[in-house]
Amino acid sequence: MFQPDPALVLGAAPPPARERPHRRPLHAAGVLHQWVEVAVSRLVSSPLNPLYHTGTIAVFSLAVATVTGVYLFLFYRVGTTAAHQSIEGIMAQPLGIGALMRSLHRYASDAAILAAVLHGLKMLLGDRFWGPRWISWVTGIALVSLVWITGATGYWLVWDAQALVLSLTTARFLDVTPFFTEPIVQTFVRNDTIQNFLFFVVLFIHITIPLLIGAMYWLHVMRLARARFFPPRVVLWVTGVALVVASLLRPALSGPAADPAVLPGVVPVDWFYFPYFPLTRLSPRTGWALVGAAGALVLALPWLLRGREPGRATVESAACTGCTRCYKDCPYDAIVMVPRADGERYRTEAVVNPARCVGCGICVGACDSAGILLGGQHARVLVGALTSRVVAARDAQERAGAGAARPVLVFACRLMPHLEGRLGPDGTLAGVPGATVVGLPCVGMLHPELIERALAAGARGVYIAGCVPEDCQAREGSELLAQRLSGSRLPKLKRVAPGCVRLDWYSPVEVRRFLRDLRAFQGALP
Amino acid sequence: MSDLPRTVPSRRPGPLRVAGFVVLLVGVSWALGAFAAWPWAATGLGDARLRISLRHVTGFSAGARLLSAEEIAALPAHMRPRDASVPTTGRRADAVLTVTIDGRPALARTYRPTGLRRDGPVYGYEELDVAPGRHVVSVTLAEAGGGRAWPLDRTIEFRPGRAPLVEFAAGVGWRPE
Repeated sequence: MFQPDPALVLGAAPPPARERPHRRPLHAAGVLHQWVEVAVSRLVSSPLNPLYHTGTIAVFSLAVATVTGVYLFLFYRVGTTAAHQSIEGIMAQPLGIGALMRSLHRYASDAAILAAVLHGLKMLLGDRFWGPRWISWVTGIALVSLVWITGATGYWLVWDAQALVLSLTTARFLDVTPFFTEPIVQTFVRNDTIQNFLFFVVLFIHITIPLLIGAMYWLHVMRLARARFFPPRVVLWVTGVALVVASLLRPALSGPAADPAVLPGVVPVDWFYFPYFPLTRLSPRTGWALVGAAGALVLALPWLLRGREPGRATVESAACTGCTRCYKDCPYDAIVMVPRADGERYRTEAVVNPARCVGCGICVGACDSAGILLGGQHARVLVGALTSRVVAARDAQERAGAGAARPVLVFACRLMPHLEGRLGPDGTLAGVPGATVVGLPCVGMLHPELIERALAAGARGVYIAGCVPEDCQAREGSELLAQRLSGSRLPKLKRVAPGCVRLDWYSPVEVRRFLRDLRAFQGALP
Repeated sequence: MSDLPRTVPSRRPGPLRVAGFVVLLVGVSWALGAFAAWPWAATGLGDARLRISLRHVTGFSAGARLLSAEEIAALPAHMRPRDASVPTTGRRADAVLTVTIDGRPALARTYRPTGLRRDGPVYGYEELDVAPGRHVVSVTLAEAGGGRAWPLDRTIEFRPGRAPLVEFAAGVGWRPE
């Protein structure tokens, strides 16, 4: 949502708010969403917060629906009478196995579409849907649509009262289009006018759409390095257990067998799939207008609500040693290694694909030779500006005497816009004397050597406020930095006194917790 | 994640948090069960409804002509008319449906033949809400422009929650109850 330009942040003025008026509601809704996530995190901890794993929970739920669907397929029979009877037969299987499988199939499908919609909402409110991410957004909308079609056809196959309502509303909706000569709704005037062939067609769609979902999913994650398919193990197991619990507490039941001569009356409706049922009382043409307008709007969001273009990375060919660290660390597969053609002694060099680069700067933090520019700014500019900032803070402390607060250099990313009212023109932070704040697009941009230089220049401590790793704006920035600081990933942090560097994770709205932790860190500095 | 605990704090959730996670997921699973089958009144419990379904091929109203022997010969075998003395092309007449219930007009609608040249069958499907009870239903399907008409008078018992069907099929007329 807010990607500070390092040069500006280190300059004379704090970063101005760059939200254009039409993006302000998005930003406000994003803040609200982040508070909901914080509330859940405080209950269950960030690593277990299901709101941070919605995408992978959707995939896992689809996998459960697929496995249980194969089981149900073995016993399903087509036909207006046979279909409903076969489902009832499955429900009556010994030991409740059939009921469990059928209920798991339904609830996993519900969980899949719920998690997918929440995932899309998170991407929207987290400002991760435009720029190079537009492909993931558009394919995500397509994925939700395909999951809906699969689920809706599944409900149709049961051929109960809900299926009849679905058939009639869908038929009326389609009948206003010019594509069908004979009204589809007439297919459903009597059970004996519905041919078994229709059941085969719907069953075929129900089974083959998941193959399309697989292909679409590949497009969805094609711009992500190390895409995760399933949630962390604990989340996966507990989600699976929750689905079983739901299946045991409330086994999925069919409504009465569909009979077109009987009005449906009050029917149990799956609101995860059919929240629009009350709107079907409107005319089908109004329905088409609503669907068309909503679909066009949602698909156009990456262009309608696009934010300020981030400064993208470029590689300074002369400085590149071909070490491949940036290539390995880029979370968006935006860097490729190509053979050198300039006769230098290194065999390959890194090249950034600007169409994929989101401007996070993680590659800058990975590069030992400072050979990557972000938004045209050389990493050395950042080093120089930081050093002068630290020197100024140290001088101020020396002038103030022995009672002055210890100078602490603070790095922050998504917290920056929420600190705006507290930031002085030189990065000083109201309420925390001695602290000077530097905004980065992502803390993953931080090369450990930068920390070592800041400490060498006179900073008593370096405090890094990154995003919650599960909610990192650049996917892996917080995690990669943690690995660099803990020595499990190159480049490693070295030569620093224990206790003078601290990395912690915050939701962008957790300003008070950040200030409290920063004061505690400053007070505990050696 | 952490080898230097003072630099990178541990993120391992404690048992209370794991318990909170389980409670949350069980709550979500309950909500899944509840909202996967939350009742909705698609129709009122005491409602009754008359359904009328039409499939009809009206007569030609304009442009009807017999194909010449040369034209028939030029057609592929499967497209040749069985009876060359019956016109097979031209604009068909509209169909007009009128419905009265207990003598009161309930519906009057005109249906155009399908097809770009309006030479196809007429299809129609209507639903009329009717108060439960016994009613005299009069339905007439007529070809526009003074063509043939197919009247139907039927006394129907509309029980609550039922939707009796009155159906007209091409070449058959009104189907018996």
